[in-house]
Amino acid sequence: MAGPSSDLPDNLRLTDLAVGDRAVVVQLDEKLEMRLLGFGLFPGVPVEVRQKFPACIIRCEDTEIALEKDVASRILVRRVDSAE
Amino acid sequence: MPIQLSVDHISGKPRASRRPSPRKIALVGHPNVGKSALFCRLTSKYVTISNYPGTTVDVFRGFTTVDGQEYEVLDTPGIQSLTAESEDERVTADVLKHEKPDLVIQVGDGKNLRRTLLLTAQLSHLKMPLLLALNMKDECDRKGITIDGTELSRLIGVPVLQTTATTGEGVGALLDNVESRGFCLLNGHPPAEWVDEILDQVKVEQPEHDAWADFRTLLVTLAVLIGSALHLENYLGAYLGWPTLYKAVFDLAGGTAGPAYLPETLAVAVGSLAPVLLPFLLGLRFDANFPTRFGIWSRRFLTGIPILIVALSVVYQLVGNLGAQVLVGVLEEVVFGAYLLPALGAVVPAGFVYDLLLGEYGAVSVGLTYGIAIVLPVVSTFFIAFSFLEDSGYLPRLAVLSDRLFKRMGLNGKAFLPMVLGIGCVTMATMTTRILNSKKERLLASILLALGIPCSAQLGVILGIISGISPLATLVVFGTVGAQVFLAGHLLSRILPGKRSDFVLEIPPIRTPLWRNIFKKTTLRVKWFLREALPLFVLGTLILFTLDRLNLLSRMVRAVEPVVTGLLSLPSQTAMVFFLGFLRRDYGAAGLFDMARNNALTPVQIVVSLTVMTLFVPCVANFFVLIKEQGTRSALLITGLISVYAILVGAVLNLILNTWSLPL
Repeated sequence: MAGPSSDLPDNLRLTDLAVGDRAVVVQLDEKLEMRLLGFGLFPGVPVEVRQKFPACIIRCEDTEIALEKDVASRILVRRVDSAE
Repeated sequence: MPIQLSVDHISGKPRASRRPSPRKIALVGHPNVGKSALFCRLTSKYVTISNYPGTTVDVFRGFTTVDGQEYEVLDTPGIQSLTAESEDERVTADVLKHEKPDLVIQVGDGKNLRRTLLLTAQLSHLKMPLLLALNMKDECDRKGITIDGTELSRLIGVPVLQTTATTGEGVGALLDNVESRGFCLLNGHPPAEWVDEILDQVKVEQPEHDAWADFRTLLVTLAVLIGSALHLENYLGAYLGWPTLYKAVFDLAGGTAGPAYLPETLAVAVGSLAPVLLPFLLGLRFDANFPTRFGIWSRRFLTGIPILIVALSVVYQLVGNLGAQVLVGVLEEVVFGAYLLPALGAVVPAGFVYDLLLGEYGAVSVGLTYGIAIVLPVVSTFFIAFSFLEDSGYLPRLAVLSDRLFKRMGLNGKAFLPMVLGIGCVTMATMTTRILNSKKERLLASILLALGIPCSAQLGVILGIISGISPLATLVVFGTVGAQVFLAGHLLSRILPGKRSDFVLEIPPIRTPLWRNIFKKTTLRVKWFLREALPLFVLGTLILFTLDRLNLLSRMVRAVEPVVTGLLSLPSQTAMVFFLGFLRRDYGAAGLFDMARNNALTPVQIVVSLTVMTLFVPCVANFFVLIKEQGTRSALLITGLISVYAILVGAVLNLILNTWSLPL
């Protein structure tokens, strides 16, 4: 299964971020798209990483969503300065 | 103004009505936005509401009347989107497709407006009249979020009403507006862009969240729960030596003091709470936002595991001590033993009727005594603990903690829900396996449930028996059962065809459960127990009585004797208990409880019999649900394999325990 490409230098996988980092979703794996859309997770949405172990937890609006590592690595994001 | 007529949520079929069918309203929305709570408000009938996403599996129906017009209200399972990822979501999609409601009320959450509107956009494709109810207004208010409903309504083309289903705020206005429906103005825009535009235009004010109020509520609740501020003070003083801090805590909590009397068992429960209280007190010093912090700790590995252990031990104390020791003691020895049975015995003349009611297999002396005096107090205390955990939002955090473990069993953390519900009732849990996304996961979870998850009543009775032996015995029983479940899952996940799905789960906020709701839920469950289980207890006793009269019982027991006394080294009477276990698992467990109390079993025998009983065949009800969900062939196969497996494990355990002679 081919993951999303990270051709743009700024794009990271969600798993590359550290706890507390804020980012904007850039691209989702096609297979995940419909599923994550329902959680309010789609390109352009700001997220914050809250936890990485034992499962990755991100905050999106006022919702916390748990994702396993495999899923998180298929979400491409662009880091946003947390000072913003 | 809303006049409730009747609710029929058992069959899931519309109530037969003489008049032409009423107008239909479907409630649709994300999990955990209070759809069920709103449904109860609209139809003024309580449905089990819980904080775990996706617990409303069946479609609930109720009726309401507004200005002389009758409406049928449908409560659908929570969905993330209309694309129907799980069977649960399919139910909602099907309801909308087949029932063709006259109005769809989307229940949304103002705190998650983006997500809410995204679903609105999806719903607009159905071309059905819509109304948006932004629920949980109280939580929005507490977080200082204000939404301009009129402006939002103008922008999306759908009436917007703000409600708080738990208090009933805004529900009247919602009912007044059921005829003012609208159509979503998406008009072919890409949903994501459309939602962004709307969010830009509606000013949503969202200042910092003041969590102090939540924290205060939690403290007061805890203080009341513990029963006595005074006692806690002494207790903490002796154990923790934090006199200044805890005094400060109680001053802040409004100096709540409960009754001065605190039973010994509750003191033990307080003892188990002490480790939780410590971070509580520390948390107070550094950060007032306790529920949020607790929510974070409980889903992290390092802090989550200790919290889990504490939570389990509190349940253990409550059910095993208060339920199985104190309450059972009062009911069995005093109410039944000293008053009821002797009183009946004095009235009923010796003979057939006496034997039928009060004999060795008497409907009253065994059936009712087991059901009411042994099982009822145990399940009641368990239901209280379980409802509390369910409503607090703690359970999804356990799904996070356990995802990696379930991955090895071919499942994902989401399977934690059916497993933990299985502790409530395996039969109901088998039905909730449909929230799992793949067919393989549903089959796998059903098998594991049937194999190793004891139902609440059974677990309660097991805890009651085993708290009388030793912690090591508890560890051996649950360790063996747990290991077998893990092993079976691990092996089956390789054998069964199909694939595992990804783990994505919403984590709801930690909420202080409302005592009123816990009370309602517990009552609902206890009633359910009395209605479903008690007749079976009596029926089972009658079957035994008949078999005994026909001299068949001793033959059946003799037939399985080689297995029971030979392989498992148990008294032959245990064979009967296993028969009962098929009728209802807790009935069987109650039989063991009775034997253990009368010292008819050695510690090793108790451990072996409990392990076999837990792994052994599912109860009749579960068997029928298995047939319904997985087909007759699979159900028979599962039951047959499990029975053989249970006996084998018991035999091996018996051998090991007798060889090593552990100090049980």
